[in-house]
Amino acid sequence: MGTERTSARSVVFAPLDPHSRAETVVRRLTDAITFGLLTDAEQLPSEADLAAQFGVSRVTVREALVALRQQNLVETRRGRGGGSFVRAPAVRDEVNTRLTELSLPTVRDTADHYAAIAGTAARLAAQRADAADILRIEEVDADTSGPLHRMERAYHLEVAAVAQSARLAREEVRFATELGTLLWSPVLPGGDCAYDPHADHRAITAAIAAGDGDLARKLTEDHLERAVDRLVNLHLTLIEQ
Amino acid sequence: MAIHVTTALAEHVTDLAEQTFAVVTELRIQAEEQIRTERDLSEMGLSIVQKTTGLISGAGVITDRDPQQIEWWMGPGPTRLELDLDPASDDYVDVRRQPWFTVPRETGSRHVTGPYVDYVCAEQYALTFTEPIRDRDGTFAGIAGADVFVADFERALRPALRTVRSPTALVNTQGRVIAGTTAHHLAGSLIRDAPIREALARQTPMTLPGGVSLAPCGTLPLTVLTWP
Repeated sequence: MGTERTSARSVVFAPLDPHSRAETVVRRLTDAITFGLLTDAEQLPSEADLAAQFGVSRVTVREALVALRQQNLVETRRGRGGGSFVRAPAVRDEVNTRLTELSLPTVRDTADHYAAIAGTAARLAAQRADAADILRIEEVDADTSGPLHRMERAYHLEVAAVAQSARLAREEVRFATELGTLLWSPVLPGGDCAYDPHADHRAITAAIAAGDGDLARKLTEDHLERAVDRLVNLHLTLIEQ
Repeated sequence: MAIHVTTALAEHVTDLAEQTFAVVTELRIQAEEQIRTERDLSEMGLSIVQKTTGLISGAGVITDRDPQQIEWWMGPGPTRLELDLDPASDDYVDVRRQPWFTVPRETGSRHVTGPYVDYVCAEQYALTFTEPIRDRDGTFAGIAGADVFVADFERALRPALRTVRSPTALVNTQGRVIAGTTAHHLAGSLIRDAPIREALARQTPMTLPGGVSLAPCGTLPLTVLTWP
């Protein structure tokens, strides 16, 4: 186990090919934190060491650390004893606890309600959007700097705004707060290659732009169903352990 | 006859909008004075609160400099707008990217934003009237503005709308309906007819070949449309 862990850790810090940059550093460290290879409160190597180990510039490392801080996966402390420290396992434990304690009938009911809101918002947006609205939705969706739950919230809120409905927008905010952090938690396994929320968004936006309300609604409902399936499967895996 | 009534309606809309802008201008002048004398914008609180009556549901001033100062109040209550200015927060919204901020910054002129879903402050369907604030050098320093809920604006216009016998709608330059007299022209719906949309962009009074007449509301980005 010890050696396995050591070799797995050496993979984490293996040099990168020259074409990869900050994004690859972020992805590799996120995965390592998510799967527990880097543990809570553990100090990361210094910026210079990380740069040397990954074979990238210090600027790239700094960029990656900014992104990790924004996702609350890393905390940077200044001064003596300072540096960058892993903090995601706390988040992960919290999400795991929430997931384990989840009531499936409640999740199903909440998700059904949410699908009704988000689906209708997409249908109305297709009826009411003009070219400038489509650009706004695309602009919101192009910002991939934050964690997934925040991008999902921003996307669906913008669709509700384009639907010209203040009530649907308020409901979007409520569901994002209630369900969003769980539904789009970065902790959930991303191994399923078919799961690509941004591809879903692009298809929904295209349907809205084409004025096809029925398709926009169906794609939105499917998009949410996939997220719920992922959540339920993880819940079932966790309670079996 | 139809043209005359339509023009009267457009004038009524212009009056309501100009009354709102008069309040915005007062706030803008006050804010410029505060900036010129290097005093804090928070001193404007009481003055802003007094302006959130009648049609105006919210008003205030927002600066462009860092740290950004936001002195915005919403009635009744009144409640001070507390925005989360931390970009890492889930509730963060960059106000400097909202059209009611960007248009006065880029054009140097006043602007009517909406109708739109205002999810930044009141979470209502609203119109926002904004004007650029300038510092001593004449550089853009922020905006002064006022919100009017679309529902309140429609209520204020209802008597004037009812004097028009044929189907009519108040729309913005993009063809988005603010108030209308038929089920086809409810607030938020979009006029998709291409000749009407092109005519709206021109902002001049005219009657289209199909008989639709346009009466622009002064220099505002608002037009009264009337169908035969």
